[in-house]
Amino acid sequence: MDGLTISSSDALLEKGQTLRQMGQSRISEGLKAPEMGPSVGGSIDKTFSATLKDAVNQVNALQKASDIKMQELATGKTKDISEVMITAERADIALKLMVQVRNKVIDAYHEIMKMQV
Amino acid sequence: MDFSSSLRISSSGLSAQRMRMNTISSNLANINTTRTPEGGPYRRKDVVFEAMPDFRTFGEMVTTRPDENLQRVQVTDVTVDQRAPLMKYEPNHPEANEEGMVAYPNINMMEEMANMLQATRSYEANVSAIQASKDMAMSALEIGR
Amino acid sequence: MSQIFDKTAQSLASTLKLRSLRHNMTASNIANAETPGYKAKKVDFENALARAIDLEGLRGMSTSDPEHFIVGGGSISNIRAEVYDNPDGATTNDGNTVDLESEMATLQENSILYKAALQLMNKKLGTLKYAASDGGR
Repeated sequence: MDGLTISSSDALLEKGQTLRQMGQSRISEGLKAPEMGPSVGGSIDKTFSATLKDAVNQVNALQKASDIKMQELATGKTKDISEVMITAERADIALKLMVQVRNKVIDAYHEIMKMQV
Repeated sequence: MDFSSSLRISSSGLSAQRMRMNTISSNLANINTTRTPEGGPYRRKDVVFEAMPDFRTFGEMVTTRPDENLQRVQVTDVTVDQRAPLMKYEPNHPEANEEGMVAYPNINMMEEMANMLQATRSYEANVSAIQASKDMAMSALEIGR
Repeated sequence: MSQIFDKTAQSLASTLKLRSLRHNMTASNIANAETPGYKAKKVDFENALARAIDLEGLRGMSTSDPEHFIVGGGSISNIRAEVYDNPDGATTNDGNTVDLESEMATLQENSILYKAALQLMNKKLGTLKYAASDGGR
């Protein structure tokens, strides 16, 4: 996946985001937060939330592509097993990575919420 | 490229070699046959192989363009050998003609044995090809395991 | 698409069922390879399945109200496979049309695709289980 890796998101978190910037991040649909704050870091043009939205869309696109390839194999339209397995594996890894990133962000959020102000 | 083409092509090779083996068996069994339903001695038979593009059904042939490099083998003809029969002098044979000569099939046993060995080896080679295709496909399944 | 078992999982399940039908037919062909008068049978389901899952996206009809039933596209689980006499078989003298090597090739191919469908089904359900178990936390 381009744009979002564990290391880059960790780097962002380690820059010591403020609570307002944490509120920007919305990875899972259940986590509702107000839209606020400027972009993170001077070198990135997009906001953090836009980056994450892009990443979620990419993962979704990978899942859909994997679905279509599976259907093609089921109907025998394609017989290229390696291609189907690779596509399915990519989608699987992307989803798992995304879930782990979500976990990390939520943990960081909890960590910050625990701080006594 | 899918593995099913290679399976079909290899199986066509197996069928062709088996048919060849059938004609060789027929030749060997009839090596001394002097009488046949169509008259005269048994004539040696041989198969003709032809390479054809690989397609599965007639519909597929007209709708898709088959890959020209993939060709399966087909037995197009079983030819009758045109060699003259062997004449042997046996005046007491029921099939002897006026000069006492009997027409025997002109079948060389060594030639047939050599062909048989070749057919056997080709058959084994095709079986190995099928095994290899199957192994490759199964290992592709390991990608996601 | 908010169903848990979407078109892909259903189509994979149908594939498993139909491929095992084809396996049985092919095994019966092979067993009867020397039976006089036996006609080799063939199983066809690919086209019917492709139409049912609407692979090309051509057959859906839009409805004006979400309360309407979904129209167009038959049910995937009700696919009937066509079983008919194989027209390509070369008839031998005793009326048998089974080509043994071709049946073996069909058996192998079918078996590999069955295993592939099984593996993909596992992968798909594994993804759902992973998501449902809160990301393995």
